[in-house]
Amino acid sequence: MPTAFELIDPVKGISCHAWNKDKTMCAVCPNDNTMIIYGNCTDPDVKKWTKLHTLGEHDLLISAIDWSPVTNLIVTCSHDRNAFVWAYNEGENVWKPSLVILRIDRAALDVKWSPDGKKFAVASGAKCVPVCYFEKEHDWWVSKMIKKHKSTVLRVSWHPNSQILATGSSDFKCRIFSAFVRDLDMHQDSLNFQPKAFGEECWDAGAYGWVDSVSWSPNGSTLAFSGHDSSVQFVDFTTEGEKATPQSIRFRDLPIDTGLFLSEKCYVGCGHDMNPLLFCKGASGWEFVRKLEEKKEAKAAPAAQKGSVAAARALFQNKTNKGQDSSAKSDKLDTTHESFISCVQMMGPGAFSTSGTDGKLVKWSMDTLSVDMAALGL
Amino acid sequence: MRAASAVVSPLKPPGQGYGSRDPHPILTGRGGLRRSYVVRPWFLTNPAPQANTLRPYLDCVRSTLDGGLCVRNFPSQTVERHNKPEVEIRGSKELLLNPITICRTETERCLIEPSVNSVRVSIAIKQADEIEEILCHKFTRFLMQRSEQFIIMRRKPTEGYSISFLITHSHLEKMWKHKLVDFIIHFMEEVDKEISGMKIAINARARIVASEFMKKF
Repeated sequence: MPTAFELIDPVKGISCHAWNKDKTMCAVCPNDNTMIIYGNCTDPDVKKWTKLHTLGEHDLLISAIDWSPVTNLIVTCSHDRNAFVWAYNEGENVWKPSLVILRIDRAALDVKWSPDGKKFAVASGAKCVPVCYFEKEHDWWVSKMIKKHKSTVLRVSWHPNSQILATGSSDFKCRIFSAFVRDLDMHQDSLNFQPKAFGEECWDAGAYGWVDSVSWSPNGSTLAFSGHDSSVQFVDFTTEGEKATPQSIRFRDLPIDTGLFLSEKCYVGCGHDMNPLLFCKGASGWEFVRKLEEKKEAKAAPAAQKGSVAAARALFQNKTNKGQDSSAKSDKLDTTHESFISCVQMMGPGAFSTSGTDGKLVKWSMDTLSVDMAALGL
Repeated sequence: MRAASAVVSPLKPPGQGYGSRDPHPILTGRGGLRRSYVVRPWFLTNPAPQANTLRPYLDCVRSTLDGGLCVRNFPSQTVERHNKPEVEIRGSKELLLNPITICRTETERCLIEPSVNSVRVSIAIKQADEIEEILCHKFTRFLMQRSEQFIIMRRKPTEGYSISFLITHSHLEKMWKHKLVDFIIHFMEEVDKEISGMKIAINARARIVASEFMKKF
């Protein structure tokens, strides 16, 4: 069973969240320009979570938060075109912000630390991706631009080697770029691609809709990206570079907005369906397995009583209960989330958390969802 | 009626129509695809229409809205620090999806135009004769003058339609999606009843007035 934590008023909602290294603290944006840091987040009772800090430095909605497990720095980006890197000062018990000049003139939509914690990449509406790193001599975060997008960049994802960056854009394309910075990353590791300079495009593929999410598998052999046409595509880069072709899976449900790999063989996509979708890699490639939350069985209708009067009465009772419109849905949805899932974060092996505009933070653990654990390859 | 470049029939049993594996056509983008879809409920091509033909029409609108309302927070990529409904601005072609027209009859139809952060739903209400035309005009004007109370209602309908709704991502953040869809379906159900009720009332009143008048002679 997923556990839901009703952190924020459902009218406000959560735009994004992030966890610290040991998952005891959680940074949440309540769909406005502030970020709230909660402590004691392992407690199953949400009332016992403590509000440690409320950080408001942005002007507009914070669109993404990322908390680096390596450096313990938080980076936030916002629709006001700025990003802040927050460093914790233990002596004063405050989070100190430092402004990053992104050099973009439109909103920032997504931000991700590189796995080694030295760089971060920001997706923006300015049709470019600033990659920022710290310059010691100037005491200053500098940004280098990746251009070549034809529309807003919606999502970024780092390869585990911190030198390759995948982006998803609303020009219907997923692209892979080299984000190799010579001063920072000593030796270039360009996978099976031709070694390229910073900002050069290594690979691209199209979808029939906006590419809402991109994510790399834990060891970086597979890339998954989802389109707004209710499709998800998996690309295997273990043997091939430029020539790798995606395996496309189309599904019946509403599109995926954000997703992550739990292992090399298991991908979870969350989004407009309000119910995470599970994909697994079998012998014949990737395939859709099931939705993580199964529909609760409707309460068995009272057995038809004997005698025609009682049966007729039950019929009319039923009509008055349901109203004329029998197809109208009831107030309660079958899913834990009541609005679309806009953010998903890894929690540990086989565990992840999701948040949406219904103000709920939901923790999922695969071993409690009656999934075939052997197929997940955790 | 809009020019039909493609007719898809969403109400066939699963496995037919546009395919059970394929997503709803409203979710596919413009890139190289057809400009506009016209969705006709199956009974229009069926020689023996059912008694209650409103139901499949509304079910079709409901399922199309369910797919179309997959919107996200999307700040403007043309104007700095702005966040506007792309379906109204029409600044970038790639952010708009295929509009879908769902027709019940020539006069009764519904146009759904989705985009990345907003959906515009326009409804043409049945107007069989001149009285219904006047009633429909007065009734929708009354509603649209109070559009802020209906939150999602537009002050002006789109060209060729009686009334329009504009649903943005911020509405979906504050309200339940399934309830919003229910509201639009309920509105479509009730508005016909309302107008035919008013028409009957007018006719009844006219009859009384006429008979009172005739008593004088």
